[in-house]
Amino acid sequence: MSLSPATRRALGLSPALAIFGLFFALPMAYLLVVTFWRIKRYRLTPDFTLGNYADVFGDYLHALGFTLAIALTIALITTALAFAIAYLIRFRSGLFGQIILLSALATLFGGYLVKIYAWKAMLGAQGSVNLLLITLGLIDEPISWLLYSPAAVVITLVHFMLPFALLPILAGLRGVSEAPLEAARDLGAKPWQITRDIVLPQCRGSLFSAFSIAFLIPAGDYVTPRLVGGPETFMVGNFIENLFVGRMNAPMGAALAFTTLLACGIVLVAANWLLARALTPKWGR
Amino acid sequence: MSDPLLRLRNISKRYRETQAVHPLDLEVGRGDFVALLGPSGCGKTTLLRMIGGFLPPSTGSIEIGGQDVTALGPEKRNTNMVFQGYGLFPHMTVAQNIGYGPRIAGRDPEQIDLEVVRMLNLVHLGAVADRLPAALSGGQQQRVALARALVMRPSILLLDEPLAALDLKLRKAMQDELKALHKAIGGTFIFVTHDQGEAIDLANRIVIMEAGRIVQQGTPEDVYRRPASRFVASFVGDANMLPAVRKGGEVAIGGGRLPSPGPDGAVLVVIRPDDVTLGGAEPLSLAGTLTESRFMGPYLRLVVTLADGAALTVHRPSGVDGPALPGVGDAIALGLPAAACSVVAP
Repeated sequence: MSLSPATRRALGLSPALAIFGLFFALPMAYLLVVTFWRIKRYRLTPDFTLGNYADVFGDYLHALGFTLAIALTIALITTALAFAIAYLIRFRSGLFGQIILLSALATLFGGYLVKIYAWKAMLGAQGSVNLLLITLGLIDEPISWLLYSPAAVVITLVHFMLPFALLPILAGLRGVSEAPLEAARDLGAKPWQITRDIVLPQCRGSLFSAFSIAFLIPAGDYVTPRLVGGPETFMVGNFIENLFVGRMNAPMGAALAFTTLLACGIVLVAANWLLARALTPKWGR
Repeated sequence: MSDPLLRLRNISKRYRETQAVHPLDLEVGRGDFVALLGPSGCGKTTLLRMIGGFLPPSTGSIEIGGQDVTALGPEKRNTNMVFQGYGLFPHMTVAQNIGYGPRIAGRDPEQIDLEVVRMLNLVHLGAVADRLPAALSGGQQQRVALARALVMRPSILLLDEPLAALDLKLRKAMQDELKALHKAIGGTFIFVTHDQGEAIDLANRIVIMEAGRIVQQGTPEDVYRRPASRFVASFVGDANMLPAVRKGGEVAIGGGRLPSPGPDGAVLVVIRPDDVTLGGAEPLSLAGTLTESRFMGPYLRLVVTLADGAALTVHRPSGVDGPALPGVGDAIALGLPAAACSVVAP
């Protein structure tokens, strides 16, 4: 039996498409429908109301803004750090670079919760960071805001996201060939000019993927803020969880989830546009 | 050379176990078009990269225009390189590629625009100024690389196998273009090649390298007509090499004697296939049997087997009238003009 290439491709993709459709697209569509329903006497009741969205904008806009700001901070720090490390591995450290890469990847073996608890132990008043700073004589008493603060969430999630951001950037840098870099140097460019003008524009795509991963996962996280964020640090994920599980208000939880999704989409589109603007040469013709 | 533009003294490069370039001296004059010629792995690219500042030499010094530049990187040398594979900036248009160097140098933007246009005209790329390198043909990319280097007005332009990536026809056209460009701007060019035909056509001076050493340098005619060694004779053009013996400053060959100062012992007499004459009129002559005759287009390639079994190749222009050639298998007499013979160590 012979099949046309198009049929073959469709057949080859069909298991993945089926899983995607059944376990992602379909539930998402259902959830989107639910955002227009309401709860009547503790029961989910079909309806068509925009009330849930109105409540979200009334009650949760502040939490959403705070979450996006934290996720943006994490994504920016992670992407910059990942680029610096990937740059060292690709251009500077030779064999030593392989060791850096291996140790970065080795942290992937440690689970997500293990990392959170590790940072909890390190950042606390009796933790190793404060101990080190006191021993060095840099501070007299422990810094209290290291743990149970937005800073703790940022530190923990940057550490968690780093390997995920490192890999795409390293792949992007491996695609940058040597000759254009030598040519730029030959034309008088200094190392930072070569990085800005030749290296960064050529790995724009991978920078954006790294940024997207390092932004989206923290934006939806609700475990890290609960464990190291303290009583003041509530992110949107915590509210969504609370709406679904605590208050049994699925329509409002779903509305908040879709609002977050849309906001994240806007942030990513804007980030991509800014990145393209910054890295496309505009001078000359 | 009284006042060379480039002077290499005792330059060498060693990588751990391998000596890529043995200590050597080289001088290049202003306006020269020099070919570094040799087989792959002979150290010619290493030498070029040391001149450009990309590789620090293990020993020796490099002077350009009387200034010692040994310790300077490529960004601080007044040399520019056309890279093998060109190394164009893939995300910049042709005009941006050419304008990058002047822009980094902080030249006035209007001045840059003028210079870019001048370069685009020089290399005939005005029509594709706004395209990205990926949208260009190999020959066009080559010309962008040339323009990008030349806009810096280098005192020496370095070219690493500039034509290797082009197909034969394009290569011939680019060869002419390079020559015209050299004439038009009057600069000093040094290029690396493994193609002896390219070296002879382009350069006014050929430096032949073998295993990290310079084995001969001179005009194309010098190295072709008067090869200094068996390697040069076989690497540059086709050569017949006839074993002979030197005694008392003379080499006995072809029933006569060829004056050749040097120690007594075994030698090789080198003669080019197009220098061998037909007929026994020369004082030095050989007799053999015509064993092969092939039409090569512009010339006929004859193979003559001598009495001792050695084979001699002779080229005859194919288009001219002349005495009829003997047929394959017939006896044939060959003349060796003494002026065309050179003697090298075996």
